[in-house]
Amino acid sequence: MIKKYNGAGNFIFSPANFLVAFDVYDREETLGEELNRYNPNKLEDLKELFDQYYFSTSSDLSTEFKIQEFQALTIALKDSEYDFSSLIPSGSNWGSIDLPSKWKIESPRQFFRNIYDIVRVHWEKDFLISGYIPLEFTESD
Amino acid sequence: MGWGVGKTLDVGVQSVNAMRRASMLAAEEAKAVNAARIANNVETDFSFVPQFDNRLQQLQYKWQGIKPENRPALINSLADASAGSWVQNYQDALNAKYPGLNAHFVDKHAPDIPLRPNLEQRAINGAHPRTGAVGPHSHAEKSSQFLDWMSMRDALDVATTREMRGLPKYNAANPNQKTVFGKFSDASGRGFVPDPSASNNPIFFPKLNKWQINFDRQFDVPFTGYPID
Repeated sequence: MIKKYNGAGNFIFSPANFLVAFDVYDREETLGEELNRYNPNKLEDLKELFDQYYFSTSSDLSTEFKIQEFQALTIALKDSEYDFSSLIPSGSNWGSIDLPSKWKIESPRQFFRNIYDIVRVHWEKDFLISGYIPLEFTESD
Repeated sequence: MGWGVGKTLDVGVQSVNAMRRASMLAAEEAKAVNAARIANNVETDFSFVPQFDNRLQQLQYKWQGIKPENRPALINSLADASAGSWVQNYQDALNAKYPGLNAHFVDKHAPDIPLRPNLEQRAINGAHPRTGAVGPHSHAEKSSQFLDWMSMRDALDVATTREMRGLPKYNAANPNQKTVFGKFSDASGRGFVPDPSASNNPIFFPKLNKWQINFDRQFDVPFTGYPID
């Protein structure tokens, strides 16, 4: 018997949410191999990945959601103690997503910093319209 | 990494256990009915062909000898086999309509997949639970199956009819995740998750009562569904 069930609990804005589009669980042989051709440590590859697999399938996200997600990423990047390696899913529990098998994120912090750069450019119009001004990063950040 | 010593790979191609059980029960019942007819000297003329006015009469004749205690099991088996056909047909229809979707509820999470080694092996080295194929970049993956076809069909049905029932299409907490989560009142699945500290001994969960159905991000239709903890 199906029980009433209200999804998977409360949502927490986190930089890890940006990885949801690259979940290849149960599609290791198809999408997994397709994504394995990219090197996520390279900014150009990551940009292409976001264009093809994230932005193209996330058009219905609200501006408010985009701002909150981006803010969570910004705050984490501003925190020098933040452990970005903990955000890389291991696939060894029921709830986690699976990244393509060949993806080895060399520097998790830099990886998310690259995501920041890509997302900021792509969502710039939404930010401008809503009056949201993203925090700036200096080279030392 | 190969299959374990002494373990036999059973690909279980569409071998619907429920169908097998149903046909065994039906054969058993038919034997009993025939024996009763012979004992009572009914229809010993084998050229006799019964005539029926309607379908109800035909079914009453067919099942007249079934024992009451066997009836629920037989009905359940037939219902489960029917649910199995529904899931298979649904998957085939999706794949025909959306080329490239590669929906595979049956291939990786169906109740007829043998628990060991098939289901377990996926959590050891990522082998395909139905074929045993190991891809060039396979690695251990969580691996679960529904315990029966009816649970699998119900999960898919609930997940794909949310909008008709006035609900948002997805219920994942993350609005960017195209997934429906659900729960059964009792265990409807079982499975393994990889154990990073003992890769040959994935952790077994005999009772899973939640499930998730993942939708394709482009087509917005389901491509997989499986029990979770």
